[in-house]
Order: sequence, then structure tokens, then C-alpha cells
Amino acid sequence: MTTKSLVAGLTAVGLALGATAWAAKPPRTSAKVDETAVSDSTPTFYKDVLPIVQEHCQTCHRPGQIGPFSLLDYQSARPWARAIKNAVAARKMPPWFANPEYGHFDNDRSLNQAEIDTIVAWVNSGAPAGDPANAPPSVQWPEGGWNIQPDVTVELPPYPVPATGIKEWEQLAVPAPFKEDTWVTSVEIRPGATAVVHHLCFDFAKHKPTTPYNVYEWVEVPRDDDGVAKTHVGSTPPREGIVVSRPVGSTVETRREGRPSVRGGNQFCYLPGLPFEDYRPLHAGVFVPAGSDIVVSVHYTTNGAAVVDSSRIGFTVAKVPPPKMFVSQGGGEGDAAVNTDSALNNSILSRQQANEKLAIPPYDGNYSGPPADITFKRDIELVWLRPHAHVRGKSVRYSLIYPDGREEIVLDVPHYDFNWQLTYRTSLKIPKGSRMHVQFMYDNSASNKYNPDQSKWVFYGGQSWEEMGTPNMGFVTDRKANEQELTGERF
Amino acid sequence: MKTLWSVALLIVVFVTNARAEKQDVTFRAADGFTLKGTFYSAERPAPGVLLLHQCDGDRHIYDQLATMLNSARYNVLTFDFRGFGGSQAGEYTDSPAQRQKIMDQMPSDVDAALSFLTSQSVVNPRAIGIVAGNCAVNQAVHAARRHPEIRTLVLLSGSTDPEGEAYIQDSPKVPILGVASDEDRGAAAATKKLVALSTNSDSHLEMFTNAGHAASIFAKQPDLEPDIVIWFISNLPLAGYGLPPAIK
Repeated sequence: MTTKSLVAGLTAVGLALGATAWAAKPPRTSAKVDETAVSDSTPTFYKDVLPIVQEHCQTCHRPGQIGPFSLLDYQSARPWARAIKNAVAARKMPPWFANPEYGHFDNDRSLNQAEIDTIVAWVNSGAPAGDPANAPPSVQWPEGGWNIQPDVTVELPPYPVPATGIKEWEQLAVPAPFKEDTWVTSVEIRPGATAVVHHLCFDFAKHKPTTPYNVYEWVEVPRDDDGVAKTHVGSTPPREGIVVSRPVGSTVETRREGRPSVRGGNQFCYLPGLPFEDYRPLHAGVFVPAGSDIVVSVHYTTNGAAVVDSSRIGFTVAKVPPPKMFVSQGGGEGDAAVNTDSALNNSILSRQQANEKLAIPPYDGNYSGPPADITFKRDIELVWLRPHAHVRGKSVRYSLIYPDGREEIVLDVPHYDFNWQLTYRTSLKIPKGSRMHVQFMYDNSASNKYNPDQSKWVFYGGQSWEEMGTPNMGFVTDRKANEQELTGERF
Repeated sequence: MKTLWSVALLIVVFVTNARAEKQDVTFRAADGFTLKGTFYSAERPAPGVLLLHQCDGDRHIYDQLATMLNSARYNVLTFDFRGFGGSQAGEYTDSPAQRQKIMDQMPSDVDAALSFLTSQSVVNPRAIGIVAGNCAVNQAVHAARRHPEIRTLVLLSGSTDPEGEAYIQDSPKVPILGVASDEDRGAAAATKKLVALSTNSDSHLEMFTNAGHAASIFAKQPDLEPDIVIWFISNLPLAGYGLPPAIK
């Protein structure tokens, strides 16, 4: 029998097996072909590789998550062995962009050299399975595709995203599910149609009689034929203008001049590549007064195929108030953190950033954006950093200038990748009077492969072909010392 | 031993990816000729990948690759050029004898396949990739010339004409993965040239030894198909900010 006919024959066998095997997954021991000729020193999947994969890869590489293939077991992983080797050896996977010379990050998921060497040696040895008895216990992942196991979930109204056109950032208010004062300890936003969700963020807000439920509102942005905003105000969405309203489930839009009824949606975010929020390891939570609203900011990007997005939000809640409270200086998108009504500006920090001056010249491969300077008005603990830019984002650096003038680079991302909106978790005590200086650089040249048009000026804006430089940060502070002041101001 | 491993891997891959949703389809070329294909639906909006077979095979040479791409959530279309496989009818029943006639119709067949693929409701019509072998390589390059929605090409053991070469040189936004085997000297040299011409910094040449020609390399290099899937994941994003939106 020739190789070709043998392959063809076994292909048929494989198809026949495949027809039944998905529902009843074969035991791991079915991959016996690799157990031959494995010496004691040869790395095997079960003994050497699976522990690495469990710790660094399975969060994304399992059914229902963003990874394009599963790495839960040998059968799923083996076909991708060489690709895995290439990706880890080149340090493309797991995605991690912080310069290791600066800072320390608790969630650094990059592999160390020994782990890379193990995977490379495993693949170079023929990627043997080894003995399943040597496998570590399986990770018990939450049910239903969640990364947290939520105590409470909220289903957002289905949103029909058209095939084409530009969608502005839309706000939507819905009642929060908490009838009593509640401390939320983790949050996960699960978009229904990841291909078109540019961001989905929300805040908790005090309900006002004027707050309309289940009505999308947005401010019209006059744009040219290429979708570029005609005015550059440095605020997304605009704070006032022609406000368009559309009730959930309706196609009827009404217009009025003025300010939107609700504004917010930046504390908790889904962005591509962004994981869930979990304050439990920090012994912290977010206070949500009874009867609060959820104010959503959602931005869809059409991709040529009409789709209905049905997104969900999951929460875990504390049975007793946690010792620390979490506050953020923006969770993801835009300039909503520059909110003069927020407790952060009034009590913790002030932020200065001249977004309206962001203007990247054509062909400029190294444009320095308007820096953000955040001054801290009290002692606080920094727990994460989450820089956000769009397709021309090139690099970002957070530098902390202490009151005595000493400067410390807290985070340096020399190669920013907008496809991975990563959170860098740390623990850094920031004394009152310090200042965080955040500098984004941009590449509007042809050498940026994601640049849609290097011949155009690029200004600040909410669309992916416009730019941002958002210096998101998260903090915790002692609850008892600050509860009345901070929770009171927020509502 | 290598063959044994290849066979075992085939079984593993098919068992792993048995969830693929596929159906045989037909569509018409511009002259009305009916082409037969297989559409693998991702069952949700996603980019599309068109697989163009070589002239010593038919669409089934891509059965496994299509399944793997589909498992990775791409929409995939394979089809038989007229005179091949299931697309043999009327005056197109003997592909060797009617080679020139068939080649003349290939651009029209590719356009019909692209039109079918992009008309599927789950396919993002602005995000298309092509895999092509041998005689189809030139067709793939020219299809990319005609259709800017084609964002990346995987070219197996083939060449293109001067117009196609000029297109590759002038297309820094189109990354190309070239694959060949060095004992297949003419095809290897041609494939090397295509990748060398590319002005996209991500373009890459994968050169094997004694691995065969075009899609037949899959049998001797079982890691190649997963590598092609990874290529698309890197160069034809499934989600995120990687693709410009459909403004108009």
C-alpha cells in the first residue's frame, strides 16, 4: 500500500471515528503511538509540558475561550506541537509585552527560559505523550464558559449590529441586580459577538428620576467619507451635541440637542484580550449601593456581516465587606476617567492630558503623544496598569515621580499590541504628592502593518482608525478609613 | 516510523476536530457552468478562507486542512475547478486534454467561488485568505490583485507571471507564506522568488526536504497544516481591532 492510499484509508477511519468521538471523548491513553522509545530524560506532555500549559495557557486555550484550539489534553495539543514550539521560542505566546527590566507583575504569564526549553525539547523529541499517570490534576474551570463563577448575572439586551456603517459609542442604563448594599468582588463581561465588540464597559451609578432605562443614547459625530471626525475635541464620546436615542428593540431614532441623559461606562471593561476583574486576591471589593443602575458604554465595529450581540455580565459578591476597597482611574477606553464628578478626581488624584492636541502627522513612525500626568492627592496602593491605544499605538511607559523627585519606571511596554489589551497587576505603594507620567508613542508609518493609511493625519477619537492614549490604573485602599468619603462621593 | 506518526496524527486531528460543520454546495461561474464545493461554516461571523487545489488533485486534498481551519473558527470553502473532481460536466470532463481551456476559465471560477464565499451570512466579506497549490498559485495572486479583501496568501509550490510578481512587490500589506520542498526544484525556486519579492515583513518561506509537491507535502510534514492555521490566526484575525471596520 502506498503512503497516499494508506493515508486516504486512515483518513476515512479518522472521519468515522470523528463522527462519534466528539460526544464521547476518548481517554487520554488512546494516544499510545507516542509512548514508544521515550527515555527518562525525554520531556513528555503529561509529566513536563502539561503543568506549564495549565499555568500559562489554558485560561485562553480551552473550549469556549478565545484561544483557537484547546490545550486541555494531549489529543488536543499534539497537532499544534510545532506551532506551540515556534510561538513560545519566539516569545509570541503567551502574550506579554512588559519590559522585564522594569516593575514586577503578579500576573506575568510569560514563560521563563527553562519552561521554553522544556517545550522545545518536547517537540524536538517527537512530542511524546508519556504516561498519563504522571499528569497533574486537571484544573477545575468554572462552568458555562466563565472565568469567575458568578453569583449574579445580568443579561444585556440583544443588540443587532449591522453589516456596515460606523457605530458611535452608545450609552445604556439598566437596573443593577442588587437590591441591598453590596460589595462586588469580581466582574466578568462576556460579549456575545467578540468579532464586533470594540469595547463593552460599565459603571455603577446612582439612579436618578431622569435616567431612562433600556434606551441607547449617543452623540452624533460628524465624519468625513473616511470616517474621520470633522472636529477634534479630545473627548470621547462628545459631552454634548445632537443626542440620538433609540429604545431597546426599536429602530426608531429621535434627536435632540443637548447632553446625554446618562454618561459613564469606564470602570469595568471588556476589550479584546482583556481578562476579567477579580479583587478577591486583593481582599478588596467595589461598593454598590442598593438600587444602583448599571450604565453601559458599548462600541461596536461593523465587519461586513450583520450579527446580534447578546452580552452578559457576571459578578461575585462578598458576604461580609472586604477589608479593602477597589477604585479605578478608568478601566479601558477613552477619557471618561477625566470625570470631574468622580471621587477619584476629588479625593485621590487629578489627571491632566491634552487629548485635543493629539495629531499624528502622516508617515511619522515615532510620534510622541500628549503625555498624561496623574497627581496623587493621598497615599494609595497601585494594583494594576492597563494602557490603551489603537492601531497606531507603538509603545508606552509609566514613570512615577515621587515627592522627593526620585523617578521610577513602573511599566515599560516597548512594543504595544492593540490586539492584546493586557492588565499588568502589581503592588506599589504610592505616597501622597507623587505623580505618574504616562507617555504613549505612535507609529503612523508604512512599517506598522496594522496602519490602515499612513498618508492620513490621525487625531484623538473613539474609532480604531483614530487614536487614544489612555493611562488606566487600578488601586486599592483601606475600606474603613475611606468608605464614607469614597463611597459617598461616588454616589 | 514517520509515516506511522503521520497516520496517527491524522486520526488524532480528525477525532479532535469532529465538530466541523460542513456541507456540499454548488454555485455557478459567470458562464453558467456549475462548480461543486464544500463549505465549512464557523456558524458565526468570521473571516473566510478559500482553498484552491492543484492541477493533479481535487478539493479533497484539503479535507483535513479545511477541517482544522474550521475548528479554529474560520469559514472555509473548497471547490473543484471545472474539469476536476465533482466539477466535471459537459465539455469539461478530461482535465489533461482540456488543460488550456480549463486554465482560461480559472479566474472566472475563482471569482465565482469568492462571490459564493463572501455571500454567506457568516463570512466577513472584508477578511478573506487563500491557500493555493501549484497551478492555482497564479490564480490566487491574481485574485488578490482583483480583490482587496484578500488579506493574505499561502502559496504551495507554485509561481506567478510578471503581473503577479509586480502585485506582490507592490503589496506590503499582504503577507505571504510560501511552502515548497527543495527536491521539487522548479517549484522551490519559484516559491522562493515569490516570498523574496514580497515587501511585507511577515512574509515567510517554509522549505522542506524530500517532502513532495504542493498539498502532498502535508502527508510527509504533518505539522504543516497546523502551521498554516497558525499563519491565518496571525495574519487574518478572527476578532479584535486587527481588521478595519466596514465603514461603507
